[in-house]
Amino acid sequence: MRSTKWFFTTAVLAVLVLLAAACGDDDDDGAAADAEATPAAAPESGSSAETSEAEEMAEEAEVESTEEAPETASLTVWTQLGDNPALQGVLDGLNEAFMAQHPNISVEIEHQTFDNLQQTVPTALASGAGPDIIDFDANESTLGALAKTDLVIDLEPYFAQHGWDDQLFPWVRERVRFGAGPVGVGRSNEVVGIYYNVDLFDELGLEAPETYEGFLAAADGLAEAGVTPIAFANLDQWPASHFLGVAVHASVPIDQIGGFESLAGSGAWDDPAVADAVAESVSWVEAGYALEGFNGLGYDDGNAEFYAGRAGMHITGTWLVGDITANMTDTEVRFIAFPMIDESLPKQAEGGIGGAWAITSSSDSPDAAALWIDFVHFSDEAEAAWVEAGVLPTTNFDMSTVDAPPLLKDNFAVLEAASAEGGIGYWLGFTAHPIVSDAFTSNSQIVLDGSLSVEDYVSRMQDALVEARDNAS
Amino acid sequence: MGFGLWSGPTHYLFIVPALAIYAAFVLYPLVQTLGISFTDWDGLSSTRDGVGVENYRKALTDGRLRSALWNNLTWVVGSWLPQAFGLGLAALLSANWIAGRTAFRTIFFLPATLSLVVVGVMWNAIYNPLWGGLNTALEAVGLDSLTRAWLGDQTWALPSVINAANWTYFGFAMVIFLAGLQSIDQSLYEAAALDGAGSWRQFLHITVPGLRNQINLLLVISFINTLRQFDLVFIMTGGGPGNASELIGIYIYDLIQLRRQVGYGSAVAVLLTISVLITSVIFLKVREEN
Repeated sequence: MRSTKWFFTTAVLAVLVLLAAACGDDDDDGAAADAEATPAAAPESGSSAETSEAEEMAEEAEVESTEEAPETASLTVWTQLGDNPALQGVLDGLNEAFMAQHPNISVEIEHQTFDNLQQTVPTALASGAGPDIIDFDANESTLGALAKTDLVIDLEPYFAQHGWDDQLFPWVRERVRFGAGPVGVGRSNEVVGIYYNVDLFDELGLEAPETYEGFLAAADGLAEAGVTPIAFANLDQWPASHFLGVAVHASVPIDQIGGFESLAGSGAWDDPAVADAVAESVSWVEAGYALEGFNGLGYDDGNAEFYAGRAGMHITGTWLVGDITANMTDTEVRFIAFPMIDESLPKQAEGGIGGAWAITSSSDSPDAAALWIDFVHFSDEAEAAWVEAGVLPTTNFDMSTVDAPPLLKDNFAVLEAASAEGGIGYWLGFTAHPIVSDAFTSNSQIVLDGSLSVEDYVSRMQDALVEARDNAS
Repeated sequence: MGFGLWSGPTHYLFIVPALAIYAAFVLYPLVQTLGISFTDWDGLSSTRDGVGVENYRKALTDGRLRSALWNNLTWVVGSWLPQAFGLGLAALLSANWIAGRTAFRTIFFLPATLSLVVVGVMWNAIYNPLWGGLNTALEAVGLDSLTRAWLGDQTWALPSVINAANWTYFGFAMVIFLAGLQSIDQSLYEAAALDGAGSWRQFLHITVPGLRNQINLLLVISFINTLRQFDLVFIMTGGGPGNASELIGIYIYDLIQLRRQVGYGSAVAVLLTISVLITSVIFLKVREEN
């Protein structure tokens, strides 16, 4: 009996010792992984000699990419195109073309949904694993967080080597810098404005909503005709970023918005100008402009109402060009900027980079990864393919050279006009920090349905921003 | 008489593989979560600074956690409905005079076999305020005033999701009760009938006591399932509108995956685990004593 107890105790202790050893290794492993990852993070071209060589290469207008390729490399790419089969096809096609040109580099692409990618990337990279290249959201709260924890590498050497600086819009270059060099290449430009059903407007004798008064008059006219003015549906919570965002960007200077959409800034959500803009959006709901029961309707429900002509306007962004073009083949639809509420401000629009290519610190082949990005984003073949699929370029690519969808040209015009004047703003509530985003998604639903006052709303948002800033510091 | 190798302490060797797997996949993550709960880790940084019991202290004063806990407890009470319904159905379907009992059992059990993702999408469609079946049915019978955006209404969002969950659960409860009914001695019913007891009294005094083990089992299962509930709310409302349908599971997900407060989220997860363990043990103890 005694020996039985002894044996049982020994067996259990053996397991517990193994367990303790596994637990104890945890931090050490993490540190070791980080230590190993850091040298790998530095691109081989990061040394001074190689940097000067890279600069020389950048000065040469055309460099055969195959000359820069490492001997062999195997790359893994995670994209956020999981729910966009059309764009998956574009990237997969470009990838095949890349591998045909570079038989020594194999690239495997895994398409994930946007939400899934936001969750898997930080976990995978923090564990020292993960892909070589990610197509990640380019905000301070997303790609910025990875940059600050050294989970993605500084792309400055590759910007010089491949001449990306000369091709990207200046503001696109700036949006991927989080206190240091660029850590991403903006994959697409996106801007928020108003899609409106031209046929329906003509039928009802309504003018295009080119001024704020015109927008309100059009909304009233649609409502009187029994048509929902705005296809706003917010069960998914994030569409509020655009419904509230257009009012904020039409009323508050871009610099001020940047002040509270940033942890480093000193701006505040509870500024009276922001509160007034939020109140303006709330007044649209009170006037019956949004879909009835909007908090119980998904984004796709709102889209369907717009496609069917049961809603006359849709406040959303560039990403819907493809779907609108496909679903409203017999209807003329135009896209225009949301008119400025404060007309003393220069034209500005909510928008930003739709996603950015970044190279992870855990990649063993950053040179090959940069070569791949250079091909799938900057080659003429790639630029044309993306534009034809409805993606706004982030470069100075000449869109007139390809057969772009008319709505995409409208989007580009809005982007260009805003860029030339006040600027492209921020994804309201989603730029600074996840704590702010969390507060935004839940509180925006209830401020819009009238169960939370605007004053309490901006106060809660400001509290979240302060908490995020405290955490960051 | 002995079994040689198999009779001595050696036989404990056989539990080592299972114990090792259990330790690796259950105990280790638990211990790791417990360790993280005493840090301020953000899930990204390579360093984790210890904060002592600060996360646990914070949890005690967290209004959002209290609200989520209250929603969980509401759900616990809500989960009793399908058990009562399942019990009624089981009693009904055990009656010999009902034709097609097997078909009914299959039909009623069917929802329990569906993936919660499918259930969420399906009930989202039913609750759709523009074209959903529920509002359409209410309008068809002249109850227009009762139509609403079920999932977008702060009062009705949580009950609507609970209702969808109950729809998947009553069939499971029915099957458990049907199995229990087969173990009740039929002579008890015959004796009760001879003594003049009607169907209702037989149900109350023979069927229900005879099913106490099944009732206890279902109460424990539903309690544990309800406290760790996540899927349906995530699919149907995301915890909204506002935080009206947020459960502890959703809150933990928000803290860890969205807000990157992994240390604090782990502390809440540990508290949830301890709560479930303690309540389950108490419940089982009480059951055994009774």
